[in-house]
Amino acid sequence: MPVGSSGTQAGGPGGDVRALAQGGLRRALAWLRGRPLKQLAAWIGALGLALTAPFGGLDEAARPQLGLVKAEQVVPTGPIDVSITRVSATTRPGQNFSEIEDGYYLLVFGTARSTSSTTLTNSELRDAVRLSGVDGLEKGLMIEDYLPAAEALKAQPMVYAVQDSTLMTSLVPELKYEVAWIWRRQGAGAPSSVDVQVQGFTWRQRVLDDYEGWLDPAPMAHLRLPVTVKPGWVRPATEGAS
Amino acid sequence: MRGRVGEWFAGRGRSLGAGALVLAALAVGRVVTDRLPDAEAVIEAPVERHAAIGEAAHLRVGEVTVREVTGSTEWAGVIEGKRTTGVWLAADIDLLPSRRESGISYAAVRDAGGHVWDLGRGTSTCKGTIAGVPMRCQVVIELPARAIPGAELVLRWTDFDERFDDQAVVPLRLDEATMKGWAASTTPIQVPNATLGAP
Amino acid sequence: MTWLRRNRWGLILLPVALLVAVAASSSRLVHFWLPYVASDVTTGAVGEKVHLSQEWLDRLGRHQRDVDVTITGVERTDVIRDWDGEDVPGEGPKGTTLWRVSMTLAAEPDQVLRGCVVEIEDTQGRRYQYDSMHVTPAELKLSACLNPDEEGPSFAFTDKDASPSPTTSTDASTSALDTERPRPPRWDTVADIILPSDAVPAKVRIWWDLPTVIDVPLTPTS
Repeated sequence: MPVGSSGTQAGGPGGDVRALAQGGLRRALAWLRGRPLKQLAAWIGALGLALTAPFGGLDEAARPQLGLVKAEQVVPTGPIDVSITRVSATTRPGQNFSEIEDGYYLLVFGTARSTSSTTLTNSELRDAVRLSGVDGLEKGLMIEDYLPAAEALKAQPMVYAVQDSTLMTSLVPELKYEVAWIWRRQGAGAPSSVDVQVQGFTWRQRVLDDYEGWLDPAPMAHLRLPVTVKPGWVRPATEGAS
Repeated sequence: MRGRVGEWFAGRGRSLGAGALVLAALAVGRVVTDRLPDAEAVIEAPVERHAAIGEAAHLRVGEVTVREVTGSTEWAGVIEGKRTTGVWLAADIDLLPSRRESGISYAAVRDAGGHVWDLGRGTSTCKGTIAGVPMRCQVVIELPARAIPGAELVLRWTDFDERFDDQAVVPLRLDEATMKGWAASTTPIQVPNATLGAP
Repeated sequence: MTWLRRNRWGLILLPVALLVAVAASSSRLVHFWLPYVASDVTTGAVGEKVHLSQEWLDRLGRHQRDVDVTITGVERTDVIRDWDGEDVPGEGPKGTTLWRVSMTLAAEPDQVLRGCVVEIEDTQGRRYQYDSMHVTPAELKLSACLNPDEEGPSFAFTDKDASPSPTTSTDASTSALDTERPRPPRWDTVADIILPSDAVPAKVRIWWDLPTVIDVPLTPTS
């Protein structure tokens, strides 16, 4: 008698179970073969995906590591080559600025050089540098919204040309500008050092309006610099003043 | 299993074939569209009116004449002044507006290599015109301190939209000697407010 | 039955359908062009009273503007009406002439009539607006159609303006601006405009908010 033929074979309880199991298996396979092809394909795909779980399939995508750079090292961000030189803090950087009563300006000095062959506006320049982990930075110029340390990266600086203390409105091709990224900070006591982050950009087309340009500023390099506290600018005394 | 699969394809052969042909047609269409030149860019390109220094360019907004071109490392205006590590090019302009909306708010130096240096950190005083009243004004542009072969000065009413409009194109001689001379100068270029009125 | 007879209804309705299709696709013209140009023009004549009526919006909602404007004359002048309401000697740049537009206006005293624009169009179609920029001395009165110290109510720019009260103004200068400068129900005023000396005025135009505009053609003057 062939083993595995349906049901009613003598052979004791073990034989019965095996026969039952084999019958069940055959029925299961028959059922499986009866499923439509699309369903089978979908199940196999889902199974394959599930099998990646123990191999890291469910982990978060790794954030790219921030490169550590040195002072005066040129960082290619995409539209602009940036280098950071030094950081200082003062209550009034110069004549064109108003004095801050309960806080101070943080100035990150560095150089910026456009890589474009046409004149660049200052939007990428303002997004190229950020301060990390500093408490009480003003979100933007004259926007009286002071950010906690965890959101310090959202604070957008104003950028000035060091040579003539004027606002950097554009970068022309081929010129290397000495600039200062300037934030206003509320709160007494300048930190002894700050973490300066340089952000890089991606050249792509924006889906919303088909605008093509440097988008998605994201930190790509950082360095820690000591903060030098400088006295605020004071109007020079004129002759004859009492 | 192979029979099942074969069966599935057999019944749908026609529609699958049609689908494949549609995809192929779309792909070919995309390749062709990408390769052909952009008609809009040609139609909308600004019309260029060439004029030499001292000659009038007849623009839609008026007659533009570049009288003189000078340079230095600093300019001083009424409200502000700026310095550069390159040079500032200052062009003295005579503008005779033909309509109420007129002026020069776009000025740029371009070369044959695709570089464009526009107003940016510079300035234009050619604003606040009165139609029919001649105006004497200036534009100041920041340039690197090197010879720029094939340089041209481009002047236009507005930098907002260049389509379907015209612009003045004036060839400049920015050779090594000129640029070196300007880069060595520290005398600020005076940029007063524009003057209106018959000379 | 011929083809024409079979399709007669279709053919009759075809021009109607075309008109409706064109009208339906004109939304851009209606929403993005016509409200921003002078598309609602009332033409008058020198000496004739013209009524301007339009709806305007601000923080407080919709308002109705009703003004009667009479352009009484346009002639050359060598004086300007300054911000004290006085006529003082004045001029424009060399090669230009000042032209004085004289007008009479009438409106309820609670109407907000600031921000009017007075424009002269010359025979060549060039347009010149009331502007203090190139006038010497630089003391031209602020408004083209209102007299100094009699401008009447101003717009509500902030919530504070919407409910004016004497206690909200902090010092003399702001209270002078906030408190009403009462305007008579009827007043005469002038607008002094610079034109190039070779320009001949052909039309005077006045408006507060586009597209509603009053056009007054001028007969040739000396």
